[in-house]
Amino acid sequence: MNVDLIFKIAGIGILVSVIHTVLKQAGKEEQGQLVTLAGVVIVLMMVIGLISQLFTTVRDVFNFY
Amino acid sequence: MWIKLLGSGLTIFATSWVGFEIANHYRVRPLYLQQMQSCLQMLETEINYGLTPLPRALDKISSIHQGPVGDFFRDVHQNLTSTPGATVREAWKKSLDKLFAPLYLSNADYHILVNFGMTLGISDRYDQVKHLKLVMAQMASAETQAREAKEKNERMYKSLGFLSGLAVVILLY
Repeated sequence: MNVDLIFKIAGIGILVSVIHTVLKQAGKEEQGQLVTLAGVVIVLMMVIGLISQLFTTVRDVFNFY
Repeated sequence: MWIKLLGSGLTIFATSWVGFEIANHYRVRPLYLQQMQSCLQMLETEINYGLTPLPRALDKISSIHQGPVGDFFRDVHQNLTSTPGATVREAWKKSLDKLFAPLYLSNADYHILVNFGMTLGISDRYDQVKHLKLVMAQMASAETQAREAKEKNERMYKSLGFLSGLAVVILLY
């Protein structure tokens, strides 16, 4: 299990929330939402390989074909 | 390991710098607009009460005010006195073009000032005062707008510069 990835995702989460707050205070709500969306997409890109790995593992364990 | 850390530091430093530069633009602009107004106020006094010839009035103003605004009036003075037969209109516009970037003027300010330069020094003092009053009012409204923009954007760009550097570092680390 790779712990680095979890820290990385946590870092991105904190960063995105801070950027969102900053942009919200400056009255740029739309850009803030855009940043949040970008953060979600980036994290999804990072974990999508692991999710597919999880699915294959589950399939292998229960012998689904 | 150390090279990676050094690179991360440099990245954060660079993006923070960019953020601070943009914030500086918003911070400095109202100050310069205010200085420009006080210079124009002085010019009005010189024209209306002192009856000072324009080159000498410009020299006087530039000796009191420092920074780009003072440089601007010094430059107009130089343009006027160094080239024989120079008109105020040409000298004013030339200096304005030269100092457009360091004065952080917007295009609207530029047009206001160019139009003002066309009327400067070509009519009697009552008319001059009228034009000066007009351009000062326009500068004042530009200043209020610049102040609002500063309130909104200065802090945002400062923190955004640093945070975007941090984002890049986290993504690539």
